[in-house]
Amino acid sequence: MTSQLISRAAQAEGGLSPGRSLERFLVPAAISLVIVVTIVVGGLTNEAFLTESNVLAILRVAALTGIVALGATFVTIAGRFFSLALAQTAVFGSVAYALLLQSGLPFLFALGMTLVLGVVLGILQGVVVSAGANPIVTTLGAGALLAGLAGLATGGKSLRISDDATAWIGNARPFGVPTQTWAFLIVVVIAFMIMRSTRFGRAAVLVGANRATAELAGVPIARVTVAVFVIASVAATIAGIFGAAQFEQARMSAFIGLDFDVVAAVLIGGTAIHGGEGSPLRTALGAIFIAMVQNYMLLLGWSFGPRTLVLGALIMLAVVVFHMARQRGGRS
Amino acid sequence: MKRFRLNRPELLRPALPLAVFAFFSITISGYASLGNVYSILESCALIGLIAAAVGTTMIAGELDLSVSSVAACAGVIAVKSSDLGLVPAVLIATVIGALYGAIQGWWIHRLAISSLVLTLGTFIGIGGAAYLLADERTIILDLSQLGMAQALRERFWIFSPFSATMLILLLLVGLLLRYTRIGREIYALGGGRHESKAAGVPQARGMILAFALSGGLASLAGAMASIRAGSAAPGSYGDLLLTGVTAALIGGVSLYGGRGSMASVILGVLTLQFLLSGLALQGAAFWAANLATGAVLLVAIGIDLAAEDSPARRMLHRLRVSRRNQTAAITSSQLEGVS
Amino acid sequence: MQIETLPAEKQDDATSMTLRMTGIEKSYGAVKALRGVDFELRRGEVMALLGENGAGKSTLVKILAGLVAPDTGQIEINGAVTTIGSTTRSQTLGIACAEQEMSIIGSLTVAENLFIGGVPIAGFWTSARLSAAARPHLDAVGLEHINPSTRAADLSVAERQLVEIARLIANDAKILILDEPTAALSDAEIELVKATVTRLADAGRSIIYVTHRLGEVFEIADRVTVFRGGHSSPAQEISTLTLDSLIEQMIGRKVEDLYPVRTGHSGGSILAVRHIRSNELAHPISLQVREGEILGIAGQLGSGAGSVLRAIAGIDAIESGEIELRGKTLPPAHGLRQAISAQIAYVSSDRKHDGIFADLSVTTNMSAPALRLISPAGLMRHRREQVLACSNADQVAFSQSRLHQRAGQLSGGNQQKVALGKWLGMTPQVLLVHEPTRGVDVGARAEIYRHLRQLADNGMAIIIASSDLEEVHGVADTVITMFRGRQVRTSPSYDITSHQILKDITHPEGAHA
Repeated sequence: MTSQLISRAAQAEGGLSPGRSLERFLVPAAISLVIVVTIVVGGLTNEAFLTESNVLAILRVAALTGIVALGATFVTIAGRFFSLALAQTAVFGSVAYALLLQSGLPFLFALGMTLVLGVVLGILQGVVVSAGANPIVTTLGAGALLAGLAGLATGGKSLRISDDATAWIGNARPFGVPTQTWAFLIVVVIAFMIMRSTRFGRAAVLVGANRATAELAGVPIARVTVAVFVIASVAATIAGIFGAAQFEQARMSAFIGLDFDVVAAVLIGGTAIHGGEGSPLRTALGAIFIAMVQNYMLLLGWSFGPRTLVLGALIMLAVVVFHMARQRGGRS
Repeated sequence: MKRFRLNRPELLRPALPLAVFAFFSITISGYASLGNVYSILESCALIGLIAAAVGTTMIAGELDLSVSSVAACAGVIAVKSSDLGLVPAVLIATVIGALYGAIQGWWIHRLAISSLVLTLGTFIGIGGAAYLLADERTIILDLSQLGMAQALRERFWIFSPFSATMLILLLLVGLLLRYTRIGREIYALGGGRHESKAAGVPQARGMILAFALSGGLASLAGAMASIRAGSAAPGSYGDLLLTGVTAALIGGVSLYGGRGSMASVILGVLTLQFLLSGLALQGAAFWAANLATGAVLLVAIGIDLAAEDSPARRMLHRLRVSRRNQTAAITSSQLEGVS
Repeated sequence: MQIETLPAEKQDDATSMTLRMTGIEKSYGAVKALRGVDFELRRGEVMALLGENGAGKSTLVKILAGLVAPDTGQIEINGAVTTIGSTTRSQTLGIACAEQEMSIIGSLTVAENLFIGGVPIAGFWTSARLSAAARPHLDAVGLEHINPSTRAADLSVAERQLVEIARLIANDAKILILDEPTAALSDAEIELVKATVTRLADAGRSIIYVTHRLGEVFEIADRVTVFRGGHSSPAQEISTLTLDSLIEQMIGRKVEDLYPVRTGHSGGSILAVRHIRSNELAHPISLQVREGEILGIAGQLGSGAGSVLRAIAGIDAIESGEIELRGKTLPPAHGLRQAISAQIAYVSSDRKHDGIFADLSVTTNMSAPALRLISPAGLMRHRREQVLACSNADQVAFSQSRLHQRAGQLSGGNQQKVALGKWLGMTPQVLLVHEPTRGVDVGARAEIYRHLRQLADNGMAIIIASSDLEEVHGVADTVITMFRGRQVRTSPSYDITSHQILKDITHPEGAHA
């Protein structure tokens, strides 16, 4: 009897009831359905939508946003809302990478050191937030600081990169799929594994679900907080490296609007803003969905204004719908 | 319950802008000239109104992230309606902004949702709306209306109509927050949401007013700034949120709610603008402003933290107690001659 | 003890009875909170409302405050039959309540706190105008020395308590309900509150004084109503009562088979606490728990019983004294995580706040304190988690088939089992439980007691802190009574009567009330 019950409970592992288990498949299923519908409708109404080059473009954009969004998901799950420093972290990462390469360091060293920088930045922000500071405002300030530092380092100009390995990262297509997309897939898998199979992932959920209870249960709140900011920062740095690699230059004007696309992906994917639940898978789907919608609107010839308006409307719709669904389900 | 306050910051704060001003007056010639003070105050006008907007929601214990988008949108609306005259155009934009704010505030209360999330959505959405209204272009003031732009710039000693409006409006809002019942209710919402509910304070109207003020002030700011500049670019004012929050924080408006005033906002704005203008005059590049503002913001956060009950301070207390006990234990064991 | 004779004009006719409630019944689902209760209040009197938690006092107060409506019964105010359906109506009728939950907003001034959320004041809220309006009310509660423009956060706890009462006056309340107003106050501050209450009553306001401190009752109350198990006694003149006769009325729930048999076997000492003091504990506390023993600390609100647990658990920093666990002394000012490493488990009194993860499954709840155990090398072993959760559930008789449910959807009793059971996975040496059965139905209570006994029999040291003296007396092997931060008595359970326990925790000998 025990083993039967264990296996039944094991099906619903990860902190969910069968009712929730249904919902757990329902939300990604719904998003996937919406994506499929969008693909079909898009493909039918616009012949340019499903061309190979267009699909690749979508995948590439989705990939970078998705990687950062996956990192940002952890911040949200742990109950720290979101980071507004990610776009600037990406820019900073790309600038640092370019500078390191320009100074003659071999490719792997430059790559490694840039990632280490990302870790350090995450630690700094995480420490401030775990001391009690508001995460939004802290990352707002940190982002500005990083943008300023990037400007200082580049003198406002863009930095050229001439390195074969970097060019490969930026533009290669192993098996016909862009490197960014491979990276995205890998990051999705890694993020998924962290959430489901590591102690840290569980700790993040606990901290986000109820910080007081988690603290009394001995969960190291401060460490978890620092860790989620490190993850987000590293993800943004990776995106920055990819961005620089793709265009073979580091520009200060890159990644504008990334913060919003990232938050949109997380929220539309259904991760609760107050934390305690969330799934990298859903965020990934959210990122793909947004990239598709943006792309479709571009094909329609819509300019920045209406596209942003639609994005904002989608975010609010998703937030309100999920919020009300939670309230009806009797959750906080 | 006497709380540890950081050396009476209320006395410290007026000293800060004076100190910055004095520093730059010494290091840059002409800094303290009337002409320069005029242009500094000019630059304070826009940011002052925005800081007041953000500050009001901060006092209520919330945060309106959408202020920069609202300002941009209002600028577009104002310039487009400029043929109706300066005052009507600005008024229209302001009223629309205030209404939008009131609706936002009502939704936040009604849905019991975090203002951070909702205003993030509106930040993005309204930003897009600005582009839509402006047809993706920068709308330029009609040549016949250029007089308006000039009028707003006209210099009266160290003030202009724009900076004067800012000061008057901050005064009025300050009086509202300080001396009316509903103003104090906004402070109550921020100072103790739970306690205010227990005390029977109405929860809806304070929230609605705070966000209406935020929307209205931001729109006024955008409208006047755009007309004065003679054009409205839908993508402008991107840095306003950052600068506004920083100014409010330096001035003493607490992120935790219930603390600060419009007087604090003015002090914070002056300090920040003195600093930024000093840097600009010294020939710093455009990204230096970002760097400085970001650094100042982080310092201000640190100070805000030290003044409140935070995990860091609790840990410090425990460390102090532990060390004291260890010393006591060592001393007593020495006294008892324990081996 | 005061002997007060009523003025000749005051007769118990309808007009001098400011409040009369008859036949009030109220049920919450299957639970009958009030079973046909009568309650009356004269004008200008102080009526003490006594009784244990769950006896019906708070339900009566909620009815008067307009938060809930009675199922049956009649309410008369000043002779007129009326219903109180809402908080606004209650306010209009002149009823006002000062709860334990403070409603003073620290960042506002005293004067602003008086008037916010209440009756409107004409004109602008200038400092001068507010202060002038606040002055008479502040004076009426003995706060003549307070400047109305002071920030409320700068006041002491007692002063803020009085400001809350002043707010009731500012709203011109005729019937004031004060719920444990002196729970957290010092001696001098209590005098202040008592003097205020007497003064208000003399001025013609009627006061319902809810308290557990019998000394205060004898000093300021005119009459007493005792609640027990949903019933109320008729109002009694204080002059007709003695401390012992009052205590006799308050005890009485004879539910013998609720408590498991004490085995009486005890082994060596597991936990020794010597003269500890903390931020919350001004007086040194010492105790000892042996293997197989359940130690019960009985104490009401403000007694410090919960603070003792929090100090041992490392939540409050210990400022002096030491704790020894199986011969090893804990580091000074040890923290929560050090306590957990030392296998000390703490279950708080407010499970909704910090006892359970309401949005997560029971399994996840059960495994939370033992994350290290189920994730060697940082990788989660889900199978191990299931086994752990099942084992914990078994130990607290929580149905395994419900492990996947969201903890927030469970009944109170089941939630408490989860809050308790989650600690068992890390095999604690010491289990500290604050209010083990708050908000739990009778059936689940019996189960929880049974499992606590089982755990003790298996060698765990258990300390429970509770305001329910019957519970402490019934479950614990050794009883410690506390009153206002002081350890009154330590005694084996069989050597002390419920009567004595209640006396100790409400008005011990030598106590100044």
